[in-house]
Amino acid sequence: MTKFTTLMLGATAALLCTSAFAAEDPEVAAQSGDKVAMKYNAGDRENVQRPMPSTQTACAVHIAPTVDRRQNKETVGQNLSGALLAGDVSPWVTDGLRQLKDYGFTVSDTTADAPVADDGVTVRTSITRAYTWQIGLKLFSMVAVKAEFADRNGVLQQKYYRAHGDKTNMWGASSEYVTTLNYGLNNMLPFIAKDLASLCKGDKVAAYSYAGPEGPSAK
Amino acid sequence: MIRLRLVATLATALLLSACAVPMRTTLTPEQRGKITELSAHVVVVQDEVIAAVEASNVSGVIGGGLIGVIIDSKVTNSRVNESQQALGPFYAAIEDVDYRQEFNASIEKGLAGYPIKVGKVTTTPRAISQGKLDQLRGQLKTGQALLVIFPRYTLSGDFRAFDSESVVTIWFRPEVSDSRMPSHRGVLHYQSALVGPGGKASLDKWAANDAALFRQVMQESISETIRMVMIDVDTPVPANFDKSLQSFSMNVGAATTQIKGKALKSGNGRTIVLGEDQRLHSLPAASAGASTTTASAQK
Repeated sequence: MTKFTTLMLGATAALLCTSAFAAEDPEVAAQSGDKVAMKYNAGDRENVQRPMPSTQTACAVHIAPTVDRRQNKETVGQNLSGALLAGDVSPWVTDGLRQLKDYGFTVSDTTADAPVADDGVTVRTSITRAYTWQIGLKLFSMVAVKAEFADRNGVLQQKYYRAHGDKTNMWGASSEYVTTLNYGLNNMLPFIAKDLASLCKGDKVAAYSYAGPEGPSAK
Repeated sequence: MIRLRLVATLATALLLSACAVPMRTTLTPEQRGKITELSAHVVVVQDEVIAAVEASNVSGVIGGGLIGVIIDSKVTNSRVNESQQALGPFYAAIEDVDYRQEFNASIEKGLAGYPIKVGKVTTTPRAISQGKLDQLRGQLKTGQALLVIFPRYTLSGDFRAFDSESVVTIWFRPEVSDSRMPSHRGVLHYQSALVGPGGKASLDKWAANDAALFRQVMQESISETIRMVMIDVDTPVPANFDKSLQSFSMNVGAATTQIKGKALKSGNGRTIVLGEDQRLHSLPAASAGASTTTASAQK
């Protein structure tokens, strides 16, 4: 059985290898890869939903559309077929930030050029990194976001967040790379929520936070 | 379900190994004589430096099985988590560093001295697909060949060294060679001088003064890679290493290893070595050992 399985896998691998070499799809040739849909999913997590940080002093949170400030605005990594073409990822981050409602905040949208709201905290963000890489059979993602928090009195604080996610590569599908990026963004959200809870109370927060899969307790 | 996923995962691993090509192949004199111009395509997939984390291989050691795969997954996750946590503050210092831009700015100037005329140069973050490769080969004119450079760069696991490894291939038009394998393939490795005692202390040194040292070393890695690209095309695969080989020390994370090889060029405090592993290595000159040995003594 073991030998058969090995042979079968070897044959499959060789077939896939040959198929890859034979691929002549004009669209793939022109684009050099797969277009991936950057769809945010709040349920994409490495582990079961972890306890949320306390946000008893939660205030209104106004989310401005995220600005895409990545150096590379074309790709989020590569898979066996070639490049993972993602295009503008700013709506994906904005969708993720709206999920702060899960932490007890009243979340609403505001526009990029709108004045800061009279109530609560307005959050303006830019994304500077969103990429994936692979080590063996594991996929990893990195998401870096710069945020500016403001209330009616002006800018409260600027903050830099980084987060990574990890996932086992199950199928080699392009969507798995997006899922891994969602893991990273979802790992970042508890840190933003914790900071917002402090800022709502008028407290300062650290200028930088790193969010790994272990959650808010990670140093 | 888990078994099915495991099978799919293993198939992916086998796919990677089934597509393996020789470490080094070089142009024949006849092939070389046909090229009047190279079109260069530089693929830089990475958006920034990452830590060189080795994948756990418990499953390989214990002969496979689900338990080994699960252990490997956990160990690799833990290694990446630890290194990324440590790298976090350092990343803030290098946010504006753009390896692609640096490479692009250096390559046109650097390849002016390439043994073959280099025409158009394209630098892209898009990993090259087989369809794109076919398209690029199909667009070549008579006398032209395609030079593909695929660099990757890392900080070593102990954060003491900056490494880059570039796979360089040369492809002909389908009318000249319809081979699905490159006519030339070389692997070029650069390693910086070691910085600090390792860990956070090394990262602090890389990040100091607006990451001045990191920027300088990254630039050196690019210029050394381009220098190796030029040497690579004129360095045939040795039938055997029948001359004296020198030992060179190389950092591999938390340890130092010795590689055997033949020094091809020295200068600027560095030595370019053709290793027994068939890679070209650009190493700090200080890494060269005093003792020499012969290939026959190795075997």
